[in-house]
Amino acid sequence: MTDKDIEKFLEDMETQIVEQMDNKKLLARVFAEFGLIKEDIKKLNEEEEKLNEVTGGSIEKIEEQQRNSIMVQKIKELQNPSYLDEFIRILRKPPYTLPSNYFQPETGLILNVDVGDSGPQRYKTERMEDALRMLFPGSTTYRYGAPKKILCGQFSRNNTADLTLHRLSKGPVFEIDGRKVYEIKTLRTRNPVFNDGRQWVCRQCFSISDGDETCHHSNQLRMPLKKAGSNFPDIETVELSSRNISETKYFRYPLNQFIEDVSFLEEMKVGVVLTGFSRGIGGSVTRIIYDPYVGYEIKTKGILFKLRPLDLNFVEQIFAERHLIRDIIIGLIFHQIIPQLSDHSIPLYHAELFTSVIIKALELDKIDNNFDFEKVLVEIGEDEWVDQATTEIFNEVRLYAGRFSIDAGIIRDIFDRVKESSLSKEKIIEYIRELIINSISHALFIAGCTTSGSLYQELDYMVPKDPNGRLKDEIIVFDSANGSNGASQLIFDYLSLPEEELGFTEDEKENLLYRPRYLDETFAELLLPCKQGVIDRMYHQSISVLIDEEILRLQLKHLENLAKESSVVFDKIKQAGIQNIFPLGIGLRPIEDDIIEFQRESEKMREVASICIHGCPDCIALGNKSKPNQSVERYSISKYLLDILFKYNTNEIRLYSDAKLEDIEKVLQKSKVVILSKKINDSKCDYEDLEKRISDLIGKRIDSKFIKLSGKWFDCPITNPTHIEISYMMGLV
Amino acid sequence: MSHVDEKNFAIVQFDLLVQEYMKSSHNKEVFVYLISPYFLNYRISTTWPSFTSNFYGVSDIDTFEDLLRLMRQNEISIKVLTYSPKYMKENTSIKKRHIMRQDDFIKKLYDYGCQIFSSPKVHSKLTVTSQGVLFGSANITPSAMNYDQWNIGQYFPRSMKKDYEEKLLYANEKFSDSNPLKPEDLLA
Repeated sequence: MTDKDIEKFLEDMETQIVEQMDNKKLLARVFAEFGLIKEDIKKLNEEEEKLNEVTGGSIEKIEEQQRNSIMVQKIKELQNPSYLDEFIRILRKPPYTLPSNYFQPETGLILNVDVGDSGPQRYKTERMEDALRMLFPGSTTYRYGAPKKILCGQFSRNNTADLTLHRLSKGPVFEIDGRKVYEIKTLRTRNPVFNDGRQWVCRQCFSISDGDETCHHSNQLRMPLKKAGSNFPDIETVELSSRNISETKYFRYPLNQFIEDVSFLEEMKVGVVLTGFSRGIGGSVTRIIYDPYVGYEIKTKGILFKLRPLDLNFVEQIFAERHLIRDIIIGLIFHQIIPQLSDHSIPLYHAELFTSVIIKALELDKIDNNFDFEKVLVEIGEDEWVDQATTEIFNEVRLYAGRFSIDAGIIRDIFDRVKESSLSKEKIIEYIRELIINSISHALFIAGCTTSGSLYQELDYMVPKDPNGRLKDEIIVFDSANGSNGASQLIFDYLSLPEEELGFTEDEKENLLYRPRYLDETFAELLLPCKQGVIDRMYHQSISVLIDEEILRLQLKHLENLAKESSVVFDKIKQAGIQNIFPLGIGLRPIEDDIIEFQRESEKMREVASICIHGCPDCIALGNKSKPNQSVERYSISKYLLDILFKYNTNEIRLYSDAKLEDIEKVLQKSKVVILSKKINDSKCDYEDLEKRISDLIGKRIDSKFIKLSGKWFDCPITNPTHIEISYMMGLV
Repeated sequence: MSHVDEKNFAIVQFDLLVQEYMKSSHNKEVFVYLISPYFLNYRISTTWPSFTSNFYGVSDIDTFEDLLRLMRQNEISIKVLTYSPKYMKENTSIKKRHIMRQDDFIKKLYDYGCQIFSSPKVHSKLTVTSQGVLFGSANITPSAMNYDQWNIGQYFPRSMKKDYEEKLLYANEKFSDSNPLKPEDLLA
């Protein structure tokens, strides 16, 4: 419209108003309003003319101008406007996103963080996955200059943080274990406020005096917070889509005894769920659960490992390992306590105390070779230990620095519920199964990271569950980046060493490539006994003298030095026996009469006794990467169980050093690999005969292949009589 | 005794050395004698070092040099008997770049603490450790170890005492009859 057209249109409108309005007062008001509307219409017309000068009136160009305008606005909102990819991704929907580096997880999803400032800087735009890992409710951030607390509200009553104080999606985006998961739209924050000028933490629930969390517990439970605690998010994952398998491969012997087949998932949807956060203060960790859960969905690629079902003959073998069954029962007790603590809104870190007290009441830390698990299962269902444990718990808390204020009635109720939990052989078997699946999942995840050169945050893993919540015989390792980051593809490509061919390919001859690490190599190494565990067990069983290995001696030296510093503690462990070392590492035990020494030495004992039997950071423990969370990791995996499974699965190919040459050759012909072992339990004994046997075999031709040395390891099981086992592996190439 | 040819020459040598490396952890009576007129570094087949262990880091080896360096870290005595680069330059028609490669490799091994000997008479090819003897026609060079040449030889484990000791005695005699390599034996 031209200016003249506008003028004429407005004049016509004015005439019609005058003709149709009788009320003079109303006419004056309408004229006043109409005057303003005329002004607005004229201004809009002027702006349109200016826009037409730029765009030539093209709708496409007008839309482009609008996009540019939005983009500029987004740039202004970003923290780092200088990086192109920082804002390109926010204008595109996945999978059309640009990762800022090859392995960076990028969902393309964003959320706002309300930092509370006035003006346009109030809302900061953040990537969803970053926000959920760094800016999770309950944490404090310095990302925006002054510290900002991401609100979680009061959780002290039931260890549950109400996340509805943030702006969430109107409906759930998906579900996990029957619980709805919402997407965060805006995270709300506040400046931490310390009313009395000093920061305190509640010993009971670990709430902090920051004006957000507040705490309903007694003031007497508050202690000055001298050092900030550590917070980390508890993240779970769930498979959301049907599987799109593009290729299936198989491991070779003996790994195929663990894993039936391995498939590449070309496309999979994964729900990433923030279920809560864990807070660690002074060596104890508590867990706060979010209500509702929050999360997001990614499309990625992964590898499905189908496990072989648990062999019942193997289970029977486990039941012969009495100390191991005792440890498994302890783990089961721990898992019975966890839901009781949640029901009574008691922080999760108390689970160790309750477990320790039950161990003492049932004398599970004093077992010998006559340990009868069936008798213990009966005893757990009786009243006797409950009375004892209810008294004992107050003796043990004297050894802890913090105050303990749980009502005696609640303590009794927790013990009563453990008593009524009907632990049975079937439950033990199912728990063994879970321990094995979880342990293999950790080993595969670590091996996958090594093979692909990925960091823990670049890969992820999950153990799918059936509708009843039972773990399936499956493990999925997947890229944690939306649209994939190539790590799982790399792992799948390097799944298994190629059938060894002599010589080099033309490509290998021309390019001096470095040797890749194959998944089966790294996975197999994680199935061998833990180096640290072997050393510790040798030392505590006093059999390190049996073997003069420099490579072991160096590490034993460290333990010998520790023993000199804490002779009382080491003597106590020796008296208790190596078979009781796992329970000695749970909770605290009185050692000295002097109360100060009492506490110090008790803690030392817990530390020394926590040697690697069921897992440590040197082997398969993942810390805060473990599922469902770090607090229960110790009771969710068992390296020792995995060691026994490895032995069980390699029984067919295992011979001893005195085996006949023809028997060795038979095994090699059949399985292409043989393990030759020797047990050492005599101080005069060495393994020269085994070395000679290996020398005799090197390079021998079997059919069209040659025997080659392909492994050597040490083991030191917890057995009676004690021994060290040395194994060599020979393969055919 | 095992028959050895171009297909398993490198396998036997690699395993003999790896075994000696592991043995050095508990037994100080370990040694390596390497006799070969031509002596060059070579790349080890990418699949061989596949080695499963909870204590030994053998899998990270890419070349023959890596393996010798690892052994020297465990203070294993390594003696090498070969042609001196100067002799090769002045008395053979070997290409200059091959001589330079041998010169470089010898210098590296010297830096790792290997004892290098030379003799113009050396023609035998022998690898001896405390666990066995490998001998035959193959030099320690990429072309011999990577199947480009036809070679033949034999491997005697230590359990074949008489044969093993004969070869060991032979090696000791030849080292005695050779001269330790001097700076002037290398290329400038």
